[in-house]
Amino acid sequence: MFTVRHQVEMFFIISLATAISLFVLVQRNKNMAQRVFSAIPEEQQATVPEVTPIPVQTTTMDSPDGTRTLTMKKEQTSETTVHSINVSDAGNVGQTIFNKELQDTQSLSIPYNTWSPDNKYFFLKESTPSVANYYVFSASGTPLSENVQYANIQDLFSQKFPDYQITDVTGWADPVLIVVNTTSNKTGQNTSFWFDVTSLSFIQLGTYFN
Amino acid sequence: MRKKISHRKLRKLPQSTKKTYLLHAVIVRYFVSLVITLALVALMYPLISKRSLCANTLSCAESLQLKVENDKPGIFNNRKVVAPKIDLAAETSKPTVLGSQSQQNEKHIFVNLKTQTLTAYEGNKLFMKTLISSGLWGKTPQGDFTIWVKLRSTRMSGGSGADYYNLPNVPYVMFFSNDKVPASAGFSLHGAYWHNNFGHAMSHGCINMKTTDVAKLYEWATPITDGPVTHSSSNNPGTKVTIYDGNAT
Repeated sequence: MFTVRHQVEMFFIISLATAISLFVLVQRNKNMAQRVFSAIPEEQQATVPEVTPIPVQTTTMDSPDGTRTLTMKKEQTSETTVHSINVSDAGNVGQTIFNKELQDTQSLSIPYNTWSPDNKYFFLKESTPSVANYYVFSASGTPLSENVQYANIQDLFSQKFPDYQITDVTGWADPVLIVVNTTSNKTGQNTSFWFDVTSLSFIQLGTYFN
Repeated sequence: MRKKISHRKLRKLPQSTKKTYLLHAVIVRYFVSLVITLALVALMYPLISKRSLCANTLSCAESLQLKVENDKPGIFNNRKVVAPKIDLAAETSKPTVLGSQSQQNEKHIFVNLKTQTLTAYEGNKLFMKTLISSGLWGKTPQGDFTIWVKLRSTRMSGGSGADYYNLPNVPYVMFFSNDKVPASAGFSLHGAYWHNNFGHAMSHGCINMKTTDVAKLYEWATPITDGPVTHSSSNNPGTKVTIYDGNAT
């Protein structure tokens, strides 16, 4: 027989079961919430994704009379550096003459005496772990001579004078002659040459341009 | 020792012996005169060399005067070079009142021959540091000098053979001198449009500078510019110039 006492006990058991279920359910949801968010590191939550700017360095050198400017822009990437060489007249945008991508062990620089005295030519120095290259350009962007956009003094010199080693290319002795200082591999004697940009030839000198 | 023979005895000697004696006499006279000449040259040399001490051997006096010669080619290294045009009328000279500039700190130019650098100071304040070219074919004098005249432009010529040069419109010339190197010697700081090899000796004794650099130095240095030719005076003294061999310091 279903007495009043049975009904009270039933109500108590059902109420207790409901309370336990609710408690378990609430606790379970709490734990789930903790697991979901604890899987993400706090640093990642705080970091906002950003675009890292590529550093650009600019170097300039005015011509001796101040009317023209040579500009080199260097854009650093993860492994290489992109060099861009631009020639401009006063107040003008100018034109890009040369682009080169170099490894981190190499570098391109504008020497102090880069410009020819008449502003028609300029030269650059490329340093590598093994050798220094010197490139000569026409400032107008036209080829230096027929089928030659620019000249590499190091290459031309080592072909013609294998017994000498270039120690420095210092500047311009006149509007078309570049001073090339060398050392003899055999005797160790210092000798200067002129590199004629019009004929792409070398002239050995008696005077050493120290 | 050979005895001196009189003319009478000489006539009596055989023809061959006579010829030998005459030949000996000529040789001895030749050598004696040679020794005397060399001794005289040696004695005169210091005076001669002092008088001919000049930076521009072919235009020693001419270079000390203002000269503007447009459209005339220059010669350097036996090659033609184009000289810059100079328009004195277009160059608006800034009128400067003597004493208007700060005269509290002395201006001083230093030239280090070893490093081929020039530094210019006003008191302790650095105004300029740049590369120069000093004497290669001729020696640059060392010591303490004073700028005695500034010329906007002049012609310089000298050298010989392969190093002959003749250059009009040499810009921004500042002649300096002292008690040992007279003004007439013509040593100066000036622009060089015919080469661009600064940092290395390239001149015949003067101090060569890049045109843009020397233009700034010319404007800064005293005597304060009052036209295309400015002489120093007690009211407008010249800037001190010290040229030294960097090896010694």
